[in-house]
Amino acid sequence: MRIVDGETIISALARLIGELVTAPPSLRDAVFSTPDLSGAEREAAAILDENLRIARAEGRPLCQDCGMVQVWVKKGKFASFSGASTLRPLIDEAVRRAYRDGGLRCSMVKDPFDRKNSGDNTPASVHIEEIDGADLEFTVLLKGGGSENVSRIAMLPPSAGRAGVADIVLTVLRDAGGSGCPPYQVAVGIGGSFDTVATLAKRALLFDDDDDPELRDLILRRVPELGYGIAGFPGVRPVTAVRVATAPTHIAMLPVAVLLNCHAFRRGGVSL
Amino acid sequence: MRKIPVTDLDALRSVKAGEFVALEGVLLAMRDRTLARLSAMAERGEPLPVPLAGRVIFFAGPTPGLAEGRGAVGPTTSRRMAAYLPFLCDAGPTALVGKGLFDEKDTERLRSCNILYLQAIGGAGAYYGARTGGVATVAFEEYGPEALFELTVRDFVVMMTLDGSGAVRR
Repeated sequence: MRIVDGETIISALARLIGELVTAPPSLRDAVFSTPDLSGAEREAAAILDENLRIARAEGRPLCQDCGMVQVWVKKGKFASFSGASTLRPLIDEAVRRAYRDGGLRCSMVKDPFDRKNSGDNTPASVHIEEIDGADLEFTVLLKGGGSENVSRIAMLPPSAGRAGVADIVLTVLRDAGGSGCPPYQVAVGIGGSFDTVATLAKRALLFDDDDDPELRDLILRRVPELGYGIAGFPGVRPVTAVRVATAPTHIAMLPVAVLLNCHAFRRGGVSL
Repeated sequence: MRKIPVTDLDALRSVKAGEFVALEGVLLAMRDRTLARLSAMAERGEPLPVPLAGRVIFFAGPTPGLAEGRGAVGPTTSRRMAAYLPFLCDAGPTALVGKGLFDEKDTERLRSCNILYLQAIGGAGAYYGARTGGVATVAFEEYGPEALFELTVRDFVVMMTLDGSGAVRR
């Protein structure tokens, strides 16, 4: 059994979050201004490029919504850790350090109805996947509320097929408009059950799944129907990428989760 | 790009839907929790901590550190604030600034009470943060990022979406 020091986990995750807030590796080569844009969309793209530059140069958060911290852990069966009996308190301590001590915006409320801020951006959303071997891998996404709010789950009949799934994706994108900060990273989970299909969509977003190229291309071909682009202004670039993850499901079911991520795609990982 | 002082009602109302302008001056920043509180106070007939009449409201919750020049602030989703439009119509701000569009019904409500709507670019928190010179907490500090703030801004680029003639640019 390999034992990873708990403090090593905390400090590595806190450092990673700090990097994701201002200059995430997932946006290292991002350029929003492309020659095919015009009018208001072009103005918006130039502002987003300037936003990336300022965040890097001045160490400012890319977005005031520094996100809900979503962590996917791949835990080898021969990997363990010190400092706590489960991973969650270690992850939450990393979040506390990164946000409360790092001057980032804390956006988590303790209760969905009384809406009192937890004050340190905890708890993180944690998913643990068991793998073979002795590795301990953390993939972290800082997820903004705007794009999470425009994501949807639908339970379709199997007869809907790829065309029906594409219809739902287009409907979600149409309803989202400029409210979730396009251009969007689209992640579609298909199969499983009501609870697992959302996790499937998240897996697609985190690990670049491309399980059904036919569906991915069908969605991409239909994107121009939306008629809006960057910032939701009339234009041509509402979507940056489409990722698809599929899983076995029930004979009666075709669950679909459409998860949108804003242009501030803050994803990164660390292996310990 | 025209620079528009937020206190210059005539200048604001002269901006055509679809035009980008640079706002200058002091915005009132607020979001979900402050709007819920203000609207409840108004309903009970209590005085608000700051009058909204004639002000420009920015739907936003900044990061700490804005005052020290390392923060971010950008628009949050406007249509989530639709529940508070009856309150805002009574309170009489000049304009609202946020992200995304209101639906037809809410746009008509804004039109009928002469409130302009401007869109800022969602997710450009560092960009707008760099154009915010000062930040003061006006009320409800206990709400953290959802408190009521005054932000002093310059070159604050936004697009007129519902203009003074009632025209909308989608």
